[in-house]
Amino acid sequence: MSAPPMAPYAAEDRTGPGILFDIERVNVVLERRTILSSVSLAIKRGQVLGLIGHNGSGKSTLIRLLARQSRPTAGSIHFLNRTLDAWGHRDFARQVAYLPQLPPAAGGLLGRELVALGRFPWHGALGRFTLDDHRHVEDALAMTDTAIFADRAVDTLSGGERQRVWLAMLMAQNASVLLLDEPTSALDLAHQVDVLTLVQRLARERGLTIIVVLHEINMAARFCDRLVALRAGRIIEDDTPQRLMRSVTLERVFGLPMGIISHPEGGHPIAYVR
Amino acid sequence: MKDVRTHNGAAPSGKGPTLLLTALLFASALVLTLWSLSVQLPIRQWPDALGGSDPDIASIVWREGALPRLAVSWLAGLALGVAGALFQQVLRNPLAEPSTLGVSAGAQLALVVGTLLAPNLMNPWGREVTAFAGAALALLLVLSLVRARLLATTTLVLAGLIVTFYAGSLSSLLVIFNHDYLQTIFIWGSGSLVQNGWDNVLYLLPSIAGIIGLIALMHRSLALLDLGEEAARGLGLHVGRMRLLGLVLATILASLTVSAVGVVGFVGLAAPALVRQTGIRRFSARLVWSAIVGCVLLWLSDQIVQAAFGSARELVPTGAMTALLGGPLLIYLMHRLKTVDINLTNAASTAQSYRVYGRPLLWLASFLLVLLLIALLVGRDSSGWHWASSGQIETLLPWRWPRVTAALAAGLMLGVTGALLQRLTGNPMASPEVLGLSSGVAIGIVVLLTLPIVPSRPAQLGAGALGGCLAMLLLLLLGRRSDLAPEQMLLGGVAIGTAMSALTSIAMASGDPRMSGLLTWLAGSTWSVDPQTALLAIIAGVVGTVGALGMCRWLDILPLGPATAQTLGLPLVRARLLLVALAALLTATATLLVGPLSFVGLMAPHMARFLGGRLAWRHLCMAGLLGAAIMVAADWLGRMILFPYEIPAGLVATLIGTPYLLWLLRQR
Repeated sequence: MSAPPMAPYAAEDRTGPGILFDIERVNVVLERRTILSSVSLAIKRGQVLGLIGHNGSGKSTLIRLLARQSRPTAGSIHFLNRTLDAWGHRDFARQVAYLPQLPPAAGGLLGRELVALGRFPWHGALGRFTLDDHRHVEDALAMTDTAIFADRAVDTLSGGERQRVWLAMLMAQNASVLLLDEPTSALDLAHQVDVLTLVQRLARERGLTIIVVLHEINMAARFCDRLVALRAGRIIEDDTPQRLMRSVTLERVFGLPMGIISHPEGGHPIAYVR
Repeated sequence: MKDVRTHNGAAPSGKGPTLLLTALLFASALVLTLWSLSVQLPIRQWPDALGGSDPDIASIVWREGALPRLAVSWLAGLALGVAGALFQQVLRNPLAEPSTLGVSAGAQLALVVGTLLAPNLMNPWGREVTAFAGAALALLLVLSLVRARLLATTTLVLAGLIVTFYAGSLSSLLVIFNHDYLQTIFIWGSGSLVQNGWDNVLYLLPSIAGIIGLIALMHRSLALLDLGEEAARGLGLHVGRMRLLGLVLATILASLTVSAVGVVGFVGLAAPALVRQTGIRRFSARLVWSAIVGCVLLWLSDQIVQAAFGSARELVPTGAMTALLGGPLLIYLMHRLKTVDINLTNAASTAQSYRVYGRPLLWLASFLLVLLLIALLVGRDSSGWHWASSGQIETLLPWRWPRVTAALAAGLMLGVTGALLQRLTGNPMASPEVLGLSSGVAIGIVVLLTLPIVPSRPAQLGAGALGGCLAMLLLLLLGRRSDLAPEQMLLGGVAIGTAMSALTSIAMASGDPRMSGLLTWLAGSTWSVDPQTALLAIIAGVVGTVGALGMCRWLDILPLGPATAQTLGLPLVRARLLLVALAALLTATATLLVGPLSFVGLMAPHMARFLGGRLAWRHLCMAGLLGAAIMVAADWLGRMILFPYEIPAGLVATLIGTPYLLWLLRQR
């Protein structure tokens, strides 16, 4: 199954140039419970977009839709002007990589072996593992500073180290879009900053588009270009961090009285619970 | 480990419907009974027959056969219902009951052994003591296996069901060697309610009444266990002592029924489950209702068996029938369990593999070669052990090579299939035997035997593969909601296995001459293999292995879970279906050669992991070689251990494999 040749975005692009994901009035209903209702969103190339909101607001569901892990009950999602369903398995995997909330146990695989699995969309079930594939694996290890874990069993690494190896696998996949579902949820503060800095750097250096679910509003504000806030399955805010970090807005998002102070160094806004 | 809150947590689906259902069951049992009693003896003769003044043979059969059978079904059902409710209360486990805890199977095995060793002691009391000893030993074994995780719902039952399998294999080994002597034990062992007199009733009635009286005295203390261990202790209850007493009483009830009517499974599971559905909360009420419902359930099952099999009603064991219904029930109850006890996957996959220096594949291959030489050349006769001399080789080889080749091929296929399934499900405890794939194959083959078709090899293979595929797809569908949670899948597989053994019991008991070879085949003998079959088997094995290796990229990715597989662009549905089909075909071929229960498919891939089989292709190759080695060794041992008698290779492998499985469980 080879990808039909295709311009990144065609001339008849109806949503304007640079739009990767075009989400239109998407609903998700599970067991008669509405998880997402009438969500519309356009995601541009090169953005680092943070999805925020409290538990059960639908942010994980939304990112799983984009990753084709589940399907919307109603509405449509286009990726590069084609509906998600129209993409072949491997074609889509060459474009979009997804890191689930809890990366599964790696079954004793070594770091390099796990990262090499990221090449599957390129070589397929029977294709040869070429020199080019090897190069991508080594590149991915170098880029994420995980070469030291290449010969260690992934399951024996600490949470932050493991997360970085998984990111390396996503790098080896060489997709232009990364979907990260709470990549920092299991990490301590130092590792959170570590991983998010890495994500931000990768986005800049390789021109990647990154959509990331984050729990912690201050982390999200610091590392994202754009924040989309969900509440009860609806998008209630969609703005830059600077404009979204206001106490009135945050109260609406989290349902808690929140205040803003500015960071003593650098002056960017910091949210706190009043 | 999460606490089990589901015990009382099953949402009461309304008192009305369940009570209605019970009443309906009761009414149909009553109608069926009256009908069948009146068929056996016209109603106008009943008073005479009851008075014993009617010398007619029909009325004697009615009085001494039909009526006591009715009474025994009431008593046994009642005892089982109470035993189930008590086990569930004491262990705080909604899946516990005599047959899921291994208690019944233990009692049965003890009785088989007792009948062989000391037949003269087998009066009612001797039987009861023997049965209780076996039951208690089995329960002790199961409880010691799960020690710290007594309250881990599914683990406990898993251990119990495996002990049941093991005891069952041992029993069938004994039956094979003492066929003439023990053939009736096979029928009785699967829970036959046939009576020829009132002795059983007169013996059961006071014993059961006594035990239930004791339980009634304890019901307040037992009810406190509902609060959980700590709260109960806080209220001054001696929890440990209470548990022990409860277990002993429930075990006595279970062993009483086993010694009287054999293993009748799942009544003790179904009755309390039905009662819970009504939302009855108080323990004493649950106990009483479980007794009543258990009584009605067994009564109805027995009446259905009698009505359905008419003249063969003496031969078809009712226990097999309840087990057949029990499998699906177990799956259903498990499905409703909301807690998943522990994550087996993580526990096993973080286990360090040993570093093997050099080329492990080469080592394994040479090891297999040595084993092959031994299997082909070393033998035993009346004067001792011999290497075959060059002159003997020519005469011996034509006898030995087909079966050795068949064992090799079967082991290879099972090993590869096991590795494949472990990767497909991401579950280190998966194997064709444990997941019910082998059982599905066996069901397919047994069903084929009952059809009016000549059971040629290709037909058997087709039927087996179809059965295996269906079993596997059923399991994948069931597991979808829990994302293929390991323990749920294992239990589902064991439930399919239970249905299989029930079906074979019925088939065996039916007396159909076509079933005669069934027991030998189920035990997994290679002696009948002819050269042509052996060649075909090895070809199938090699082709299947190559096919599996062709999918090894998928198999590398699949253990990482469906989400990762999908995001890497793996065609999940197609890959799963293809792999399931291949696994079913391989298992069907292997099962035709060595029977459904060998556990080679569990052991070999597991050892292969220890030896460093991380990546799929190496894992598959090593598992295949190890499987072949185990099976060749088992075949040879089976020929040698009890020379001149022969133990089927599959049975030898089971006897080695089950302790390995239990040890694995204990490791967690």
